[in-house]
Amino acid sequence: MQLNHFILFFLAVTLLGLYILGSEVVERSPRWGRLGRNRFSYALALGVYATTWTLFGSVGFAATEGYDFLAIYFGVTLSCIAIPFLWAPVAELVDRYRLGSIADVFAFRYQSRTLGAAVSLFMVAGLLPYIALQLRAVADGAAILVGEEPSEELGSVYALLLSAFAVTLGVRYADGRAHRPGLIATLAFESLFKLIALLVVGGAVLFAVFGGFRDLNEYLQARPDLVENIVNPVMGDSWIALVFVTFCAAFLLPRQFFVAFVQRPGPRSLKTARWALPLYLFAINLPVPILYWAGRDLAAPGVRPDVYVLVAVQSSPALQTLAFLGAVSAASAMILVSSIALSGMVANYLVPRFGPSPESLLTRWAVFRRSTIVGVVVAGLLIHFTLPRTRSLVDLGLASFVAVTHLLPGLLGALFWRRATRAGVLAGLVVGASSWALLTASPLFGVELDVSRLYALFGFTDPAARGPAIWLSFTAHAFVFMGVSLLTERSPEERNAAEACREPRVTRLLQVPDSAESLQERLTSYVGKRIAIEEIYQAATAADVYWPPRDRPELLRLITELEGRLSERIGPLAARTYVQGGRPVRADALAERLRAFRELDSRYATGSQRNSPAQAARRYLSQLMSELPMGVCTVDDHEEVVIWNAQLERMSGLDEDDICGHPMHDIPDPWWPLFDELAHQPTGSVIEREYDLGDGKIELRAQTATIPGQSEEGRVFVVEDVTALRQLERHVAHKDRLSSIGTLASGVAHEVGNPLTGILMVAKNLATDPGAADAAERLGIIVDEAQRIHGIVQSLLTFSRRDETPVGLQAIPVAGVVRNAAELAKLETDGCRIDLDLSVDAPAMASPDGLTQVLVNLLNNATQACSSGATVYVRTRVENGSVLIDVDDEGPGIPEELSARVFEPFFTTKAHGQGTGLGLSVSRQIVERFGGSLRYEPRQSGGSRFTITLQAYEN
Amino acid sequence: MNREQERALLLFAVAIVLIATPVRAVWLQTWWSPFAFWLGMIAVVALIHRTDHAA
Repeated sequence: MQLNHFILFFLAVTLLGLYILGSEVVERSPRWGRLGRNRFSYALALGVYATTWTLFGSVGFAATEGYDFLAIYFGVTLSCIAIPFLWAPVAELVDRYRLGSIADVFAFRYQSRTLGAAVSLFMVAGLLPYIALQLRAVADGAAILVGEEPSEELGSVYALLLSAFAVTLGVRYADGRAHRPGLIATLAFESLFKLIALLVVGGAVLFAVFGGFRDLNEYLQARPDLVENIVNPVMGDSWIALVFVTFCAAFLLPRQFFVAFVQRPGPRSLKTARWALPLYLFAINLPVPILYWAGRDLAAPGVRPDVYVLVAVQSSPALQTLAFLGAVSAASAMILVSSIALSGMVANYLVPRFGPSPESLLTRWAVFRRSTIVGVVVAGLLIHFTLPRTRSLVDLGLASFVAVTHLLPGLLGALFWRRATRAGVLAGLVVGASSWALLTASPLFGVELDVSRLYALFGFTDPAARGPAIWLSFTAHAFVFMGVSLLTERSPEERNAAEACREPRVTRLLQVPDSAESLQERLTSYVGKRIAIEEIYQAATAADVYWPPRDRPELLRLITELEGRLSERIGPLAARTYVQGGRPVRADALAERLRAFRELDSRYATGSQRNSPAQAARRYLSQLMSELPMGVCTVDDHEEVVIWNAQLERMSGLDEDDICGHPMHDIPDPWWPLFDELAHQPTGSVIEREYDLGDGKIELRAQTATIPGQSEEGRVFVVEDVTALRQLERHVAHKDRLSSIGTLASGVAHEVGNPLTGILMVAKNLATDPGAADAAERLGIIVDEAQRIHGIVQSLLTFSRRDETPVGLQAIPVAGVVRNAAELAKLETDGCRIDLDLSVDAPAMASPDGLTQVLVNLLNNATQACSSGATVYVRTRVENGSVLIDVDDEGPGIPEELSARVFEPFFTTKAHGQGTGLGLSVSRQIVERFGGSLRYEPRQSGGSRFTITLQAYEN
Repeated sequence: MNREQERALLLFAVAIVLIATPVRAVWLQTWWSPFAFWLGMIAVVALIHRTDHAA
């Protein structure tokens, strides 16, 4: 089959169309939506790191610099090892303050829009060559496949296709919401596709060209120079510089930052990425050396090594097409995510400075974001046309990677160095960007500077190596950053922000509106009433909140959604101002408190007041919290977790570090639904739920209370594992039922004996006269009597069954259950009569077995207390929305001094050996678990009255 | 710094020595040994991740 442009273009369009379709399905369907929230999908989505550089460029890189190409992935592996102490704090910061890009982090920490703009500008300039690389690789690949020379027209066609894809999906996902499952799932599918494409192509080359692993080994043994050429460069000067550069790129490239932190679906995702991302990169790189050796042997002279992948499978158009589609897939994903990330930076920091006001941005943001996404892609296209064709894919890609290394000093300062100042970061960035432009970027455009003397000054002997340019510019940047930071002072805002960055878990810079009205007023004061109402309406729809919010959790959900949506369009600083009022970030009460606390700590730690009462009390409280035998979780006024104590860690298997500082709704199931349900209930509410946590079922009893504060209000959730307790209760209840059956035994014998005697007599008569005329009638008697026995036996079996679902309430007809219980109790009535008044038959919330047990207990007690011929009255009634069942007897009653103890376990007024003393105690437990009550009162006319109160069923 | 971070830092230091110092000559013996070393490193990280998770 001869490939032509139409077929290739059609297949590329189909592939990208499928991605768009898939992302819509995942976004709309709750079932498929899970794919986008899965931590493995997230790790695969981080595979957006592998672009056409990996698909095509790595083979070209291997051809010129051997295994130095592995440095591009070893750096990422090293970066993934650093996830717990480097990525995790960034993730916490991004989550906590809803930051959308690395420029947001800089602007937030150093309290400077100028710095945000500088970072954005540098990133746009640095990333454009990389976008150009993608367009070039795809266009050149298509040209090779159809046997033409690469042309700018061809490049334009594919550039337009990739731009259309990026704009279509980009606008869909640039709507201010983090954690978009559709985007993560699309990137995960895309990563899988390019992995499979490269593995299939590599596998085919291994067997078709080399004949398998053994033959490949023999081939290499015969050509030791090939192995030496590929292995030796690793010991050269470039290796370490490349590892360093890619260490930074793994999480600082705007697209990596966007996926790794902004789109992170949950606290555990990063941990999985520690090993899953390197494993993915390992797998996708396995075929690279094989493809290089094959391409080297098969390529005609003059063919660029960047397209060896296509050359290696030149005999198979299908495999060539697969490799090409892999490249289209990789390029499209890279351009999509990069354009979303860059357009956010441009929109927040560059355009507002020179263009429309934030108010008008709010009204026209969709058009604006579309324009910026298109603008970014078109700029990449222009670079693609401008760059000389002699530059390899690696040169273009590395230029971008080197640019992002200049974000590392400022980021480390934000996370770990409180002394870092905005002047220091800005000065460092200027030096870094200038040196990058001179040493790294300008050679791409054919402007070569003679820097050999400069390199020689610092001991670098090989100006062609990649190391000198990287180390020199980075070192200059780092020195200027530190020097200027030490020489300048931080503003009060910077100090507070530095505290917030170092302790995002406990410091809050937010002043949350305390009511829906104040939120609307605040937003109105900035953007006008019409826009404020529109924005709130859209946020409320997205957050599934009806206006006005009915309680504080709903208000907080709305605020979070609203701030996120605004943040994406006008930046986090402005968004915070709009929602919370005041200056963007101001001296905050909690930050001040934290600092005071720390100073207090350090004073105590130095000696004199080490054992002060305040310090001792703090230590005592801290120890108490960690050693409490029940789980404690507290959330602040912004619904973010502050405390997740040791017992809750044990119960849930979730680490405190993964939960604290994150929004409550990020806590994995079943904890978030449990807390959310409680959060909508008043203080003191208790709920019990049974969950399957994988290691077995667990029964939890949880209650909540609000924590009142001056300006903010949080909540505490206390969780008890009542699995063992409930098992014990069920065991005791079962014993009690068996005990009741023992009590009923003589009655049972009597009740069964009577019909059995009848059956025996009728059967004997039939045996002597089988042909009697009334044989059918006699057989009917036998059947009736046998059914009576069967009914009695069934009642006993049901009664003695162990109830395994104690908390499973259902609406039951009370009269029917009372009637059944009375039938059982009549088996042993000691001559008493049971009078039923069941005229009121309202459904109530209970379990039928549990309620039967309670009623049998009460009726047995009543009949035992009565003298022969007395009557036990059972009556149902409805009062204040509850269903009540009264059990009255005409016995002597309970002496007043003992009446308070009737529900105590093992308390009985019966003679020794006649009762366990558990009946009433167990009965009350059962009724209370139904959400009802059991109480005793003496009757006016003598005797006792036990009243069961149950919740009425409301349909 | 919690226990997980301490472990990660230790592993990071070891990895730096193995990757970015002349010690790397050890895993550069054959054409496939860099891949074997890489896979081994991933396995260790996965193992530590598992241990951290279990703890």
